[in-house]
Order: sequence, then structure tokens, then C-alpha cells
Amino acid sequence: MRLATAFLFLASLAPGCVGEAPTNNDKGIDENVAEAPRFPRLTNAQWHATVADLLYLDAPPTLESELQADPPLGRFDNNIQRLIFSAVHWRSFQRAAEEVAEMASTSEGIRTAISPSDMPSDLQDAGRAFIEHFGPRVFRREMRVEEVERYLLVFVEGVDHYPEMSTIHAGIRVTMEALLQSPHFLYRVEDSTSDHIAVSLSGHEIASRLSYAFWNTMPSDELLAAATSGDLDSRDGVRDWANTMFDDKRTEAQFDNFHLQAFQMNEYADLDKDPTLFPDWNREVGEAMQTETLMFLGNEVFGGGGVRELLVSTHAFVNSDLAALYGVEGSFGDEFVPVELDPTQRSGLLTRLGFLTKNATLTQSDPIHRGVFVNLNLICRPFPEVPNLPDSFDPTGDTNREQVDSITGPGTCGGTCHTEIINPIGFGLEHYDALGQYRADEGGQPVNASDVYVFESGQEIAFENGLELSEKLASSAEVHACYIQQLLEYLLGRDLLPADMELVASWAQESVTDGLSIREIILRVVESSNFRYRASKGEMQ
Amino acid sequence: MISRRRFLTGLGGAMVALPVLESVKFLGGRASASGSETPVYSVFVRQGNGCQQSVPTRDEIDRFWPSQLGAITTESLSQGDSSQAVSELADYASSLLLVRGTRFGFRGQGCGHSGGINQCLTAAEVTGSGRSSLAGGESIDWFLSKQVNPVGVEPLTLMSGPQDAYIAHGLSYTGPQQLRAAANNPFAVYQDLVGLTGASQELLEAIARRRTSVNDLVRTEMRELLGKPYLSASDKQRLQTHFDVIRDIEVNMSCQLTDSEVMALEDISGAAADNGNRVVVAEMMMDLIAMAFSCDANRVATLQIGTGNDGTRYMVDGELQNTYHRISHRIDGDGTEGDPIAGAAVLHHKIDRIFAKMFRHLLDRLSVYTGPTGGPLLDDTVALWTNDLAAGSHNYGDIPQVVAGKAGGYLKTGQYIDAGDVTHNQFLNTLISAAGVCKPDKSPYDSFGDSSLDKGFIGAMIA
Repeated sequence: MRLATAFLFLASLAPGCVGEAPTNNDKGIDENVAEAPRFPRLTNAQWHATVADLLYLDAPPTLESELQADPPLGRFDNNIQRLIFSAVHWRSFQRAAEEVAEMASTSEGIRTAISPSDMPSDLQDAGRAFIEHFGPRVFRREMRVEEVERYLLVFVEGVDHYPEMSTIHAGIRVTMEALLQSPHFLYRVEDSTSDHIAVSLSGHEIASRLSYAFWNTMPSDELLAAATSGDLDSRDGVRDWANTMFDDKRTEAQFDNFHLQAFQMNEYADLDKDPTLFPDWNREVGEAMQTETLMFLGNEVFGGGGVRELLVSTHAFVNSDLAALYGVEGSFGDEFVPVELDPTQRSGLLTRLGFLTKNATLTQSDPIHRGVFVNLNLICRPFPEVPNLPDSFDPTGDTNREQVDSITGPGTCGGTCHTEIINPIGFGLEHYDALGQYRADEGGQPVNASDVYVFESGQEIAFENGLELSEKLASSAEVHACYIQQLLEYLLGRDLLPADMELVASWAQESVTDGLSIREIILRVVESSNFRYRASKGEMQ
Repeated sequence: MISRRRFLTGLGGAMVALPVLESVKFLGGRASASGSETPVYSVFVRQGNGCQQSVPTRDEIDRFWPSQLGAITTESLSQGDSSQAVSELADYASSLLLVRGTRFGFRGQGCGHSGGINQCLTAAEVTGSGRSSLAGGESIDWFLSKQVNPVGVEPLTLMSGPQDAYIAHGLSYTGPQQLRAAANNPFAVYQDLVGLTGASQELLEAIARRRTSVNDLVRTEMRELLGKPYLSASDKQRLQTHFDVIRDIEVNMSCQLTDSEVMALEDISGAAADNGNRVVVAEMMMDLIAMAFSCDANRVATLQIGTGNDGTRYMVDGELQNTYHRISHRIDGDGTEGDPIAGAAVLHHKIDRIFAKMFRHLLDRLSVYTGPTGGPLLDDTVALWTNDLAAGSHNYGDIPQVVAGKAGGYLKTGQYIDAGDVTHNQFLNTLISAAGVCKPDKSPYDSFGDSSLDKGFIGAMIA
């Protein structure tokens, strides 16, 4: 039992009036709590997963109706600020709701699963029992009495609309049509109010925040029950519940999705390489690189690792293709098996095949794109405006580094950005070719992977190679802050505000100095006031 | 995907379209001689990666524009300028208005493609880069739709290409930062447009009763939420939009495609995003746009062909070529490095011709129907073939703007003009006026796009 006794009384209050006063642990909430939309719409992916869970299906149903596509939602695909609503959306939600209702109401198995076990035979009684049983799962909260009555009217008239069906089945069908078009289903409504500037969210609202953050779908029946019983009304209660959610496979999938987007791994399987130089390259190898990187990152996150480990760990998972590219000796097949990479050649993410192969050309390593990627996605360092590309380049030099330097280095139009910000990091990874294979030399020429990178703060790091670069980045507060910032953005499903950045900065410092695990950071996010509270009048656009 | 059986019979009420049309009051239009207003239709077709033309940063001859400014005729385009991409449109010379000398007002933010596609129809400043790039303003299709379509009818937002690619969307904005994804499956678009036109009267009435009952319940819930005292402006707008689009009676089209055409749409629906179907899907979308216009079911549409940095591999001279993006950069790589692609400039030109032929297909379709002023529907249309770059080297300096259609006589067609290096908001302002939306004093509209840009319009485009 995770319930904190002090909050027992809250369970008896009506939804929307929970009114937990900020505790001593929540000092400064009024100043720090962030604004957010009160009506985040389900993304299409969330809609499908939620429907599957509502009907207790193993996978989202294959529908003949297409939902209107969601646009790119910024860095992550769950950013609620980017979700618009229009007539096309409404029509597609309507069609999909009607199709799901038809499928569910005509399937005995689904009907049984979503109805109470003691379904009465009288139409009115059956309607009330069905709505009181199924409705709260659709709304992800208890239904008010007047809401039940409202849906009951629709249930009873179901047979008028579907005279070919039994009265109860017809009632289930039309009621489901309405429930699945309700704003209380399509939006994660946060209805709580308070006299405080900071509004503590109700248990059910927190349950939805948790489930969509960890599982990208509706709360489980157990999580809804926990909300009803008041388990989520305290900081510790929320933390405890979140802790248990790590054991769910859906949480792993959700953080795989986070890493996939944060590190742009979708493109790994869609790369071209020169068939003469790399005859064994094909789409399957790219997919294996994606799998390996996800397994590596997931293993660190779920194994108690911190941001540092993502950059320096030599744990890896390889199949035969990747073992060959990494130079790992042994016998391997199609399965991915855990190995330790050679610590004199490899460390974490920046020396892994997927990252290196994506940020490479058809034939060569690509210091520019490697440097750009690290600045944007690992350091979160914005770039100044980029000028138009010159029409042609005339690189000179014997090595790739020399050639890149000749067109973007000192004295060229790229002198500032490239010389100081982009190229040093890319040059640090020059020991890895277009497929991420380690090279001691480049066609007989020695590889020069040493350089100096200067952070925006003015702090300098000098390194001899990718291993030292990884090590020094792993000790940088900027890098820890960048990962945490993205994690927070993903868990909250929205752009970050200044109030959020204060939390990021403090956790980043602890992450560097104390080796805070990523799991602990995630738990701190969900127990934070920014997850459990909202501003009373959010104006966030 | 709804099967053809379901689609035509309406079993299960998966679609609706009621036989009773709402009384539609269109707000905009061109005043005719009799004083009544006749509609003008607007369609914006977008090509990516620039066209093959002569730009200051690239040492290439021009293969896009006519050789001389001034009047253009079928003869001049098909003979003297037959080497130019626009010669593919020679048959429509009298309906063409070719405009050079417009440029985007803002620089890109690290990615020329995302900066271009976001400015293309918004004339708004762009924030972010690459896949997270967004425009800070409404696009012209939404601006016009609010003026010339009835409430509840939104512009058609269509594309030919994959929806999950890098910069897959970026053209159509309902408001600042509010990007609408484009639909890429022509069969789904057709379903949404025509609904259950083949269903029986009895079934349609039954569906109407049921949907009204459900909608009434949903409206009650929406009203409760809209009445909450704590709503922020953005939340209120979001809910109000939702409330406003709930409709019991759909504005339906009185026309349909033929059975064989519908079958063709259905046949391709599972592979609409495939590389090999880029052209045929674009043309199907054009068919749908022309049909929707012909029925006055919608007056505004966008069609994005390919994605942000269009990686389509086009068939040129019987061979499947390298990706269009690489051809546009003239090198075998998507970054700054790669081996030169032999004959890339000519390949780019030939791809421009493919786009010109697609645009011609749209003009053909618009010419099949009779428009509200009695001539071909094209005469009552403004059709734009534009680009989100001037050329493949990420230039924003001389965007190829190819307009077709007389807009009810408002535009001075049959000519090739140089707008004089103005920001392209002035070009879009002129198209807005052509679509029937002017200032209160009936003078041309002049203030679309970012307020920091010079106001104005291009007088030489106006008849």
C-alpha cells in the first residue's frame, strides 16, 4: 500500500477539487510550477494504443478508417503543443469511433471483456451498469452522476439506431460511439482548480500523466484504482507508482522511442554506402545498428546507469554483422548477445556504429555532421544562422581531416562555426570510417583525432581521440543538462519553460558530481511539482 | 482503409454524407458584371529542391524561364523556348503568368529546405531547424479558406510522398507554429470528400438521426468545458475549434469520380507513398482538387509533391535516377560532400519538366469542367506552381512562380514578368486579391505574412 495516511481524506473529494496544499517538500511551488495546456489531445499513436487497452486487445486494432495524420511535433512525437484540431480531424475521429464501436459491440469476446460480469438483463439497468463500468476507463476518471445519466439516454435509444441488433448490444454500440468522440476521451482533460497559483492535479490526472509518459497509453485498471484510492495524492505515492512502472515492457518501449528520436536513429536503416568500398552494407545492417544502439542505451537506463555511462560504457550487444564491424572476436549468429567492446577503441554512444555510420558520407567519415549532431543533440548548443552553401567545393589535402579543414577551417567562410564549434568534435572521431569501423590510419596517412573544443561557457576540453572526447563530454554539466532537458521534455510532452530549466540545471549538477542514475532522474521528474502541479491559468501556446 | 464495399454501401455508417445540403453562403468571390459574386478557386502546388535556373552562385545556363520577358504565346513557348522547362505548358500560354524576381523575406535556420518550405506559403519568419522547424504565421491557403469557404470547410491539404520522411510536412499552417499534416492517400481523401453518396436515402436518414444524437451529447460536454472560468486563451481556442467543426449535416459534393477512377484510387491506397507512385498520386490529388472545385465543395487546396528535401528517384530517359535531392545538389551525397553526379544540371531540368507536366495535368483537369463564369473552370482559378527554393544550392533569391488561370479576369495572363526582387509576400498578396479577398476599399490586399516585411502587391500581375 503506497497510500500516505495524511491524504486519505482527499479521496472523498469530488474530482477537480482535490486541493492538496503545497507541503514543506513542495516549497517554492508557486514560483516554479510550469504552465501547460489543460486539454492535451491524444496523439494518433496514443489514440490507437488507448483503444487497444480499452478493449483489452493485445495490439491496436486494424481499422479501415484512417485518422488524420499528426504533423511532426517538434523534437518528440508526443508534444501536445503541436496537436491541432480541425474538421478533418473530427471527421476521422468520428469514423474511427463508429468503426471501433461496431467491432466491439458485435464481438462477444470484447463485449464480455468490457462489460461488468453481472450485466443485468433489463435495458435501463444494463445501460447504467455498462456505463458505470466502461465509462470511467474511457474518461480515465470517475464519471459524475449527470454524465452517467446523459450517456444512459443514448444507450437506451441504441436500438432505434440499430434495430437489427439486440437492445443491449445496440446500446453498447451507440454509447461507445459517443464515448469515443467525447472530449473527455480525446483530451487528457486537467480540470483541477485551486485558489493557489499552483494547482495540484487530481490523482486521476496524475495517473494519466504517468501512463502517457511511461506507456504512451491510458492508465491500467490498477493505476486508475490507485488514483481513486488516493495513492497518487502524495509525492511519495507518485514516486512509488512510477517505480513499479519500470517493470512494464511498455516503459522500455517508451524510452526506446525517446532515444530513437533524441538521437535520430530512425535514419540508421535508410542509409546509402558506396557498394564498392562497402559491399556488405545493406538495410539489415543498418537496422542491426539501430537495434544495438537501443539495446545499449536501454540496458544502461534500466540497469541503473547515468548519463555518463551512455557516453563511456563499453557494454554492447552484437550479432554477427556488428561483431565483424566492431572487430569483436568469437562466434556470433543473428541473435544479439552482450559483449564488452575493446576499451582502447570504443566507449559509449559516440563510438558506436550507428551514430558513426549515420553521420558519414557514402565513402568517408563526416566530421561536420558528427560535430553538428553532438552540438545540437548532446550539448544542446544552438547554432548561429547558417549561410547558403557555396556551389562548389575544392578540397585539398591528403586526409579527410585536411580536406574538411581546407573548405571549412580557418580562413574560409566557415572559419568561425566550423573551426571552433563543429569540426573539433568531428575530428575527434576520425578514427572511425563511414561504417564506424576503427582505423589506426587513413590509407597509410596517420589519423589526427586531437583537438580542443570550447563550450559556450568558455570552458575548454582537449582530447587526443574519441575515447578522451567521450570521457570529457561525460564529465560536462552541459551534456548532462542536455540529456535531462530532453528527457523532461519527453516526459512532460511539451516544450520546456524557464521554470523547467531550473530543475534541469540542478539535476544536471547532481548527475555530474554524484552520478545520479537516469532512473532516479525520471523519478525526480514525476515527483516534481512540475509534473504533479499545473499553473492555475496556463497561457502556454 | 475502408473497403470499397463499405464505402459504397455505407454499412455500419462508417461514412456519412447527407443528401440535404446546407445552405452555403460563401463569403468571398469575384463580383461579376451582374453584381453577383462568383467564386474564384485557389490551388498551390509545391515542388522542392529549387528548379534548374541560372542563379548567381551557380555557373549554369538557364533552362527554366522563357528567354525574354513580356508576352508569351503557345508559339513562343513551344518553338523559340522549347528548350525551357515552362515550354511544357505552351498550350496554356494565354492562361499563364510567369513571375520572377520574388524572394523569401527570411533566412533559413540551418536547413535551407525546412526554412524554404515553411516560408513558401506563409511569408513568415521560421524558427527551429530541420524537422523541428516551424513557421510563425498562417499560410495563404488557410487565410483564403477562412475568407472564401463556409465555416467548417477547410482547405484541402494534400501531398504525394511519404509522411514519415525528414521534413515530411511544412506547407500548410492553420496559425503561427500550427502546422497541419498533409493527407497522402488519395482514396482516403476521396472518401472524406464524397462520403456515402451511393447509400440509400433510408440509410442516410438513419445515420443522420444517430449522429445528431451523439453529437448533441458531445456538444453538451464541449459547452461545459468551454464554460470553465479557468480557460487560457489557447485552450479556449482549441476547444472552440473542436466545437465549431462538429456538424450534423455535411456539406456534400454533388459530383463523383467514375467507378473506374475510384477503383484506381483504391488500388493505389496501400502504396500511395511509394517512390514509383509519386507522379500518379500527385495527378490523382489534382483530379480530386479539380473535382472538389467543380462541385464548389472547396475553394482552396495545397498539394505538396515530395518531402522537404525531396528524395524521390524520378524516372528520366527511361532510367531510375539518383535522388532528386542529390541531383539538385549536383553531388552524390545529402551533405556537402560526395562525388559529382554526371549531367546533374540537365537531370534537374528534366525533373523540372516532370513537374511541369504534372502541373499541366492539373490545368487539363481544370479545363475539363465548366466554371461559374461559363468558361473552363481554369478561368475562375488561380493555380500556382511554386518552389521552396530558387535553385538546388539553397537560394531564396529568385523563386520560380508559375501562375495559371485568369482568376475570373483579375490576372493579366499571357506574360512573363520580373517583379523586381521583392519579397514574395507581395506576390502572395496579389494572389489573395486574385482570389477575391481585397481591402475594404476594394484595393488589392497588401499585408499578408510577417508584419516586418514591406507591404504591397505586384501591380504588373493585375489586368
